[in-house]
Amino acid sequence: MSEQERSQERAQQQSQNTGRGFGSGAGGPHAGQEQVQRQTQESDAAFDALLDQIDAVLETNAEEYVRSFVQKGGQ
Amino acid sequence: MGIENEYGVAVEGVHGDRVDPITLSAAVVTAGTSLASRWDYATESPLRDARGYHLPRHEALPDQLTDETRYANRLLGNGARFYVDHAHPEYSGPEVTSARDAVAWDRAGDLIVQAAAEQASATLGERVRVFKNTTDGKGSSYGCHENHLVPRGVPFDAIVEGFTTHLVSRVPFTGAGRVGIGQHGEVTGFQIAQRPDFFEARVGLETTVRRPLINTRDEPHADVLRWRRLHVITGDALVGQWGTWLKVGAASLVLQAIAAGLTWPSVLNPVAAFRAYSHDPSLQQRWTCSDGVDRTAVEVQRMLWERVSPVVAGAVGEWWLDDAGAVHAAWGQALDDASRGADALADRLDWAAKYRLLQGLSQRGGLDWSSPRLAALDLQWADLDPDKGIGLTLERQGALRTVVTPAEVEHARTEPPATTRAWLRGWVLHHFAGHVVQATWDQFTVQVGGRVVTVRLPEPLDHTAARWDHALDEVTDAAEMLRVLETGGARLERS
Repeated sequence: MSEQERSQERAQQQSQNTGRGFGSGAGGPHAGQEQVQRQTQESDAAFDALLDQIDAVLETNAEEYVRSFVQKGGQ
Repeated sequence: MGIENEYGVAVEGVHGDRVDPITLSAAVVTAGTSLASRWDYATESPLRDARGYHLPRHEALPDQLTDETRYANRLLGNGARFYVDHAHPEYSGPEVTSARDAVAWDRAGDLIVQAAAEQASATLGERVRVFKNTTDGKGSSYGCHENHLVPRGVPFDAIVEGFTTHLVSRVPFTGAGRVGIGQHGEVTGFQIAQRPDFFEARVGLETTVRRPLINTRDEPHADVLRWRRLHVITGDALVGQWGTWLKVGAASLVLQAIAAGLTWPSVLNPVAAFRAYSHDPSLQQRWTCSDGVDRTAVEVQRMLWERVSPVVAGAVGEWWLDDAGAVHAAWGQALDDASRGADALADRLDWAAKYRLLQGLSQRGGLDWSSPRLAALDLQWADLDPDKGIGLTLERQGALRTVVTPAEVEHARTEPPATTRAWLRGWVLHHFAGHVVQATWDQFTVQVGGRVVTVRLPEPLDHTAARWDHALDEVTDAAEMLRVLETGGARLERS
C-alpha cells in the first residue's frame, strides 16, 4: 500500500472515531453520529469476517500459484 | 447482442509453460458438451474489414484465420457455442435482447465451463482450473468480447467517434481490477481494469496484436445488407453479474444513441486515456476532451448518460434492448455513488470489491503491491470453482450483487433465449440433434431421409419462440419439422 493510501486510510479512520465520548442516548446532538459509528463498526466487523474467510480460502503458496499461471495470448 | 469469453485455463500445481494449452482447452471443451453439433464455417469472414476491403489470406496473421477447422467446436442446446479459440476454452453466448438475458446466458457459460473443467479433471487425473479473467499478468491477454447488432446504415465513422469515448471512460463501471500495471506487470500498483494496457491502436482488424479500441472485423453472421455486428474487444471479464449487466446494457444504450444520430464530445488520444483512467483507482484522473473540457472518467460517463437519455425514453430511434430503462437508472445511480469513491461501488463492481479486499489484506499483513499474496487474490478472484473463487464467494455472502436468480441461470444452461434466432437453433438441437449435420449462428443443415437441407437464419431477431413454438409443438419427426418451417416462411435450401 502506498504512503498516500495509508494516510487516506488513517484520515478515514479518524473521521469515523469522531463522536466517541460526545453525548449519549437517543435524541442527543451526536446520536446520529453514534448510529453511523455503530453501523460503521458493524460493517467493519462484517468486513473483518469476510477478510477472515478470504484469508482461509486463499491459496497457501501464493508465490508459486501466481508464478505458475501462464497463458497464451488470445483475442 | 451477446457475450463471448475466452477463459484462462491451468492445471493445479503445474507451471503453465509445461502445459499444452490447446490440448488442455480441447479436453475441457470436449468434456463439456452434451448436446452438440459440428460447427459450420461457411459463413465466417474473419478477414473482411468494416472499412471496405478484404485482407488477403496470405497477408493475414495465422491468428486471424479463425475459420480453419482445427479445434474442438460445439454448438450447444442453449444456443451458445463452446470451442477452443487461440489456446483458450471459449464460450460464446447466444443472441439476446436484454442485458439481463446476456447475464443469465453468460453466467450459464461460466457454469458450463466449470463443469467441463471438473469433468476433464476426472478424465485427466489432474485438477483443471478455469479463470474468468483477461490476462496472466505476464504479457498475455485474452478477451471478453461483446457483440452488438447495429443497423448497417449507421456510418462506421460515427461509431468510431462516439463509441470510443464510451469504451475508454467506462472503466469505473466495468473494470475487473488488476494487481500490476503494464503488460508484464512491470510497475507495482493496482489498476481498475485488466485490458487497457494491451490496447495500442484506435481502429484496426487485428485482435491478438496491436489491439484496437474499435475492431473493424465485419462478420455479421446475418443479412450483411441490413446488419453490422460490432465486435467489442476492450472489456474485462467480470465475475460479478451486476457489472456484466451494466457493461453490456450501457454499451447498447450508447450505440442506440449513435444509431439515432446523437453525438457528443470525444476523449482525445483515447488509447492513452484508456490506460490513464485505468491506472487511477481514486477516479480523479482528468483527460482533455474535444470541447476543451478536462473530464474524469466518471464525468465523461455522466455526460454520456445524459446524452443517451432521449433514446431511453423512447423519444429518438428504435431499438430492441428490453431493459433499457433499468440499465439507465442503475447507471445513473452508480454515477452518483462513484462520487464517493471506490468503496461505494464495492457491492457491485469487481474492481471495487477486489480493491477493498486487497486494501484490507495489505493492512492486516503489512503488505505492499509487490506482495504475492495480493497477486494471488487477484488471480483467485476469477477462479470459477465456487469453493475457491473469491468473486463467487463474495456473491454467496451477499457482498456482490446479483441480477438473475439461480433458477434463471439453470434454465439458461440448457434452454436458448426465446427472443432471438438462438431459440430455433436450440429447439432443433433439443429435438433432432441426430439429424443436424452442421450449424452456425445464421444457418443449420439437417439430413432427413436422403435429403440434405439448410435452413438460413439471416435475421437475428427472427425465428423466435413467438414465431415457431406453437407451430413446432406437435411435430414428431424431422421431415415434419422441415415442412412446418417451409410452410411458415423459413428459407430452406436443398443441397
